[in-house]
Amino acid sequence: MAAPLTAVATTNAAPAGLPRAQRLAGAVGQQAGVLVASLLAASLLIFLALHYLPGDAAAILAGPDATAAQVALLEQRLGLDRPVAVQYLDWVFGAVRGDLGTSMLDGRSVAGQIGEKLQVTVPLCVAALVISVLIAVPLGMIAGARHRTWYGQAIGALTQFGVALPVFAVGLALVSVVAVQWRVLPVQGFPTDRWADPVDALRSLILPTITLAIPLTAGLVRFVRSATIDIVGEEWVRTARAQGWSNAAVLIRQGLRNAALPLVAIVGLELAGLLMGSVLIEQVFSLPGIGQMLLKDVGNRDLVSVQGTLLTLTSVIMIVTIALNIIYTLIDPRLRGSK
Amino acid sequence: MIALLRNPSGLVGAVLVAVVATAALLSLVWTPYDPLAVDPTAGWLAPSAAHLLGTDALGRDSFSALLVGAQVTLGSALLATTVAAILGLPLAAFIELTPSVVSSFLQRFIDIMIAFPTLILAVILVTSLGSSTWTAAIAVGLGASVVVARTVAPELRRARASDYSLLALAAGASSGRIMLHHVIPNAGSTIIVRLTQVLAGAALAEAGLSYLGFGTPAPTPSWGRTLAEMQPQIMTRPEVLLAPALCIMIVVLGFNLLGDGLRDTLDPRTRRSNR
Repeated sequence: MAAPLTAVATTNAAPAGLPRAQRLAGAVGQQAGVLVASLLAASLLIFLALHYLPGDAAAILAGPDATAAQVALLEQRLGLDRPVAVQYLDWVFGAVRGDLGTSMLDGRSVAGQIGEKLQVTVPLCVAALVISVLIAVPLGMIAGARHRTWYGQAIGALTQFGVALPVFAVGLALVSVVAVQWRVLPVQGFPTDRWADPVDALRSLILPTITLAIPLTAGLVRFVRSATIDIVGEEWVRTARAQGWSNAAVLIRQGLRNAALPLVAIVGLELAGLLMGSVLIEQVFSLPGIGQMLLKDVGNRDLVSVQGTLLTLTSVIMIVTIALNIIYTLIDPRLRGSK
Repeated sequence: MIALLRNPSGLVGAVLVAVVATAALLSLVWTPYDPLAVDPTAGWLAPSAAHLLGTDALGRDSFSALLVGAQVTLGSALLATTVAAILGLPLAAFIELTPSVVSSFLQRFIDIMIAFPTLILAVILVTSLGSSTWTAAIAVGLGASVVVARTVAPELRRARASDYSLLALAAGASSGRIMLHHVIPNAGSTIIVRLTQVLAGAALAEAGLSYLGFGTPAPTPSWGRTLAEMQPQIMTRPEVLLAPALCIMIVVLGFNLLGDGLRDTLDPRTRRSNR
């Protein structure tokens, strides 16, 4: 696993030999260019795919009894009678200003709706990610450094189950045991007044966060374990051991630094999975997050809302990916230091 | 093959996959009941000799539905993986064969496409083409193809820089010929391992998409959708959720272990290390 992943995201386009700040600026500039191009490509893909849907959006919204004149009026009101290119540019320039249009159904601001839903989805994803990394790094290092002992093997075997578990099944199991039978935590839902009472809000996010963290942790442990096994076999570890360092000290002081790099890369790869997991979990726990919004809008054929949500999700993931790439450039010792 | 079955991961994985494959094949010719036959007088029967896993709200036999669900899961996992291989492998070879200016651009593009969530691809395809097992599988395959391309490309590079490839180059072989006759056969074992992992991911993704309503539409039995349909029962009879959840786990675990077993037996670099 480790070998191809270390090849991820080495974007040191600026020639070596330049001062570090300049190389960094070059790398950031290149990444920013890639980001803008990718966001444009993604927005075009989302827009065109939804624009050329079979079935006329205005006709569906107007209902089966509407006359042709009513449909035409609605089309005009929604701006669907304009040329495609105008509609696209209008949408993209609006999006840059933070305006994603208004819902076709209730006329509410799409961006405002998304902002509200992200108050649920972002804490859920961030908490699950932080918990997973905090558990997975020590656990994976132990399992890797002691991979021939029974507990090293046991951790390895457990992660096999962890990555095979469908996240929604884990959620359902937790709901039925912790919430329904023990009655410790709320079964489903989120306070309607959102974060007005932080304790209530947090309580309803505990089970979803654990659910989302379980497969993520298992995947990360597998990765850290395999990276640690590789590291333990390295010659510099043997040298350090010969100098009287304990295995744990070598791993913590040197190995952690070596594992940090691929870890940043793998976290980037997990982002899309994290989003998919979050959408599934919002469905299991009836959380009013962005996934629920997306499912509802697809069901209602509220295209303005759907394309706004898709663009937001894609942008967030791409921006975080690029940010991770830049961090990667920063912490990679091969791209650092030497003047 | 025998070496694979001597490997503990490989053996368990092969058995689990074989069980699911047998269920799928069996359901093509025989199921205890018609999985779609509704019997209003037999709703929510408890498991018994007549109905091994009981019945659902409409009196449909749950065990028959589970067997047919194996077809859906395996079929869509195979389709998604085929799509991923057909697109991903030539892409990997193309990256390796093109001049570095083009390939560096392609790699950036792939980095970004990996970040483009499969879920969003599936939503777009399903909204425009309508939900079906195959639409969802193609979306999953498209999403996985870039992952295949990215993970296979370094293997191709390694094989291409090897002595036998250089020897072929010195003998005057074209780069396309070297790719087909030397590089791909030598990277073959890694490619097979990767594709087995894609199978596992695709099975999990099918279940997830069906659970959300973007995959297999009713009434075709699908493990993910069965879970969604049974979810309201979690208060009263949580045990009905167990069988489909376990089935999903078995098939994903099976493919993952099979992949590990294949990696251990096919890849000489890890053959001896005890992972």
